[in-house]
Amino acid sequence: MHWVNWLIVIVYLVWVVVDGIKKSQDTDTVSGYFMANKSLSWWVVGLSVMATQLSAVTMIGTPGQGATDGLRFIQLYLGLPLAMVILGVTIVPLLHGSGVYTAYEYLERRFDAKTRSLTAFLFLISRGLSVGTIMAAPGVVFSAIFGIPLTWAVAMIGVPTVIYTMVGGVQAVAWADVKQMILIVIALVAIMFVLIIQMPVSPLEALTIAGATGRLQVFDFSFDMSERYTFWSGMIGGTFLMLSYFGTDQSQVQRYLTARSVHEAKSSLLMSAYWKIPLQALVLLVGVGVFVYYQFVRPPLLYNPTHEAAVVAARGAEYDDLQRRYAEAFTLREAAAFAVADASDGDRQPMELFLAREQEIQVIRGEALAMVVEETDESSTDVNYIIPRFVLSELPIGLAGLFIAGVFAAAMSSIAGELNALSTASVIDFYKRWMRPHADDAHYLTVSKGATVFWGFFACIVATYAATLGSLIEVVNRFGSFFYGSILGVFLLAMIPGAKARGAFVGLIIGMATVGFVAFQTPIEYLWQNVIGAVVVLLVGVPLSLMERGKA
Amino acid sequence: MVDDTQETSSGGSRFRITLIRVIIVQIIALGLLLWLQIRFGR
Repeated sequence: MHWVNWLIVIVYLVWVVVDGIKKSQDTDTVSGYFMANKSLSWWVVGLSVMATQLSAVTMIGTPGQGATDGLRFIQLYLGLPLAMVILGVTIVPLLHGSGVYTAYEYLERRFDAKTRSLTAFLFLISRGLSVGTIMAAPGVVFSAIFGIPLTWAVAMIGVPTVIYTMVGGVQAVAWADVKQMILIVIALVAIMFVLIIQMPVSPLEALTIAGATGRLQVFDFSFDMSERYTFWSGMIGGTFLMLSYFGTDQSQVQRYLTARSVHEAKSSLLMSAYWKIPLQALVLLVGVGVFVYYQFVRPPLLYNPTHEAAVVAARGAEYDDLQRRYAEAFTLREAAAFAVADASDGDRQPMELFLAREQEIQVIRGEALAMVVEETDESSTDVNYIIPRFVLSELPIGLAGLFIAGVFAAAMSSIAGELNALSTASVIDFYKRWMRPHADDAHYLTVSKGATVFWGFFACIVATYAATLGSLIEVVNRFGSFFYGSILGVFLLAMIPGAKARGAFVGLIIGMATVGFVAFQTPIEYLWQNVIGAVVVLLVGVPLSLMERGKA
Repeated sequence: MVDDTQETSSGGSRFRITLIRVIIVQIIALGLLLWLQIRFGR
């Protein structure tokens, strides 16, 4: 990478840490460190909520998915706006008004200590692991693209994040999120702008080419529970997933607990309700744009440079032959793409020829990816490398650095939020609850900072192993889905008058067991598992509570 | 407690207004995506 781009990245990293440390005032109490003394404005919290959800996966994996699969991933977010509105009138007032530090603390007040401890434990396990995968995504890609060891790449992301999170607490995290969110949006808009400028065809012609390959196919209205992203899985399963993530996951709950008032906490969530789908559409459209751009500029046959080097080293002659076929096929496809752009409406012939040429390219790519599997024993998926390769080879100097800084920003904003929440749950729900209930603030503050460092270190270790887990987007979501629905079920039960602790605890166990069974024994896709988990908890918890009341 | 009471009494209508606003914005966003699908889809 050009030194100017490196300079931009390094300046950004230093600035984030220095600014985060500056924001550490008023964090000498537990309330200041974990809650920012409930002093933040709705827009700060709102941007922090969005930045926490938006990870490096969103910046590199999701546009990559847009490039290979089109816009249909957006269906995952169809339930988000409704979920935000529902949370605004249910869980947000409940948690913000109750003065708790964690969502799970509320469950002890409503039910009992074991329900609180179990849900907090599940959060620590699932989020502790997922923060590792969130760190691994950019770590693996940067390692391959820049040719540096994975541990260095992970450290470049992890160390600055741990420093400002540990020193500045939630206040530093929230203000860093604001700046990171702005940087991310600027980077995305800039890359889209450059794509439009550099594209050799007009935007309408680009859309025609993208549409011809099915990449503008957004909605799938079939009701097939084994299909991952459909309109219905997004609307129903997605609503439950978002209710659970934003309503019961400490990494998000902690964001809006820092708001000045219940009203500002609600407003902060509405920012996501309005902007998440347009933002996600922009991210995916960047990917679609890159796909169209690569119809006219020959991309590498393999996007992962490490894999490419391994194949060249082991089977150089065979790979050279494949490269030659690829170059010929690309020239033919490029001509076909221009023909599609120039074709009049209703002229199917150029489009059919283009699709045939595209198929030839995919066959050759398939052969190259098969060679990768044979030579490296690693997953051949290189979707996460498309955008970084494009950024570094096609964007002007400076803008590439800005985008890479944006990827760092996306990674750090979500990791910081998670570390802060993991530290809070560890200290409030376990250390203070079970080990040292009556220590002073200074003691808890020291332990909290130690917990942040511990979780940061744990995430770095997980990140070095998560690299081999396959598609990172789904890995992150899958971890959560095993518990999310059932925990949401417990919170829904908490809102039912007369629901009892035993019903909640037994319901939670049976809910998770059912989701585990469904996940391993049926083809039902993960979004539906959130619905199943929540419904089973209610189906078990309500009758058990009624029986208990009958006995009393 | 007074604040809580006010929150509850106007909560229903505020919820409806917010819900309607969010639905309108989403209909516009999803409508644009649906237009892309119909206009340029295969």
